[in-house]
Amino acid sequence: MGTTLYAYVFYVVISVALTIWVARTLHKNGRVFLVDVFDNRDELADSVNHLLVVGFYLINFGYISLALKLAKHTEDATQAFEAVSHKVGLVLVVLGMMHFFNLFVFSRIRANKQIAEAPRPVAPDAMVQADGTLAAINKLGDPPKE
Amino acid sequence: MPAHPDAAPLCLTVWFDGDCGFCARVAKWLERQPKFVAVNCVAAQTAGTSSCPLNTAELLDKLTVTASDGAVYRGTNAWITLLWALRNYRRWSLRFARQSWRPWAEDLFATITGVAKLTQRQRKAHAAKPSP
Repeated sequence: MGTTLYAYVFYVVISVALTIWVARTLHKNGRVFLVDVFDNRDELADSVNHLLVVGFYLINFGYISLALKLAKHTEDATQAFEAVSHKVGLVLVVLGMMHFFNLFVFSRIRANKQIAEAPRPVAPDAMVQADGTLAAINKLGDPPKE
Repeated sequence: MPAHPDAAPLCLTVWFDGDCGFCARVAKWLERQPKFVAVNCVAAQTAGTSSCPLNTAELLDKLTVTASDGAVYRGTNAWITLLWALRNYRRWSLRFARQSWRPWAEDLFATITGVAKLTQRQRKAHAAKPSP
């Protein structure tokens, strides 16, 4: 029973510490993306950044709590160490997935903004002059197909 | 193609064949789409009464899009510009404009134009048939 309790304590401490470290990293480095996406509106970027981090904490702490219970009590320190390693490994995988999901969300928001601001992708075939006549630029439409 | 940041809001006009049912359906679909840029669909047959620099025969020959800043797009360029105006399809427009995608875009839009011309021919043939 003694080693199981220690395993729980180690698991919670390590998992919480890892979650806080990843969340702070995301908070610090994700801000630059968000400021760019929100046209340098720092307040809005900070607000969204904060909300994302809150969501990140909720999901990770929720997972840590749900995954806390060990299937069986550990008999000695070796078993306790293995159990903690297994649990922390799962938390790391979940954190990694959450991290990539966050990156995906950031890049998606940024790509959408770039698309909305994209200039016309093709040059015009002609321009209407001031006198109403056409001035061809390159060609007028596609070349005839053979 | 330069951006037009300080110009008046851009507006595109699509000249479609007013006698073609398929074209009219596409025009109706276009009107329903969410857009980044306003798009007006106008029948090519009314070109004579407007300030369009091309005549009806030229407009019917290839899909033509005219922009409010004087730019004229024809054929594949017109399709790509049209997709660029639509919120849900701008991503595709940017892809089709790439050099590597261009042959695909030309084939695709040539097929769509072919379907329009085919339905138009069938309609004309049907109309020309003497009624029993």
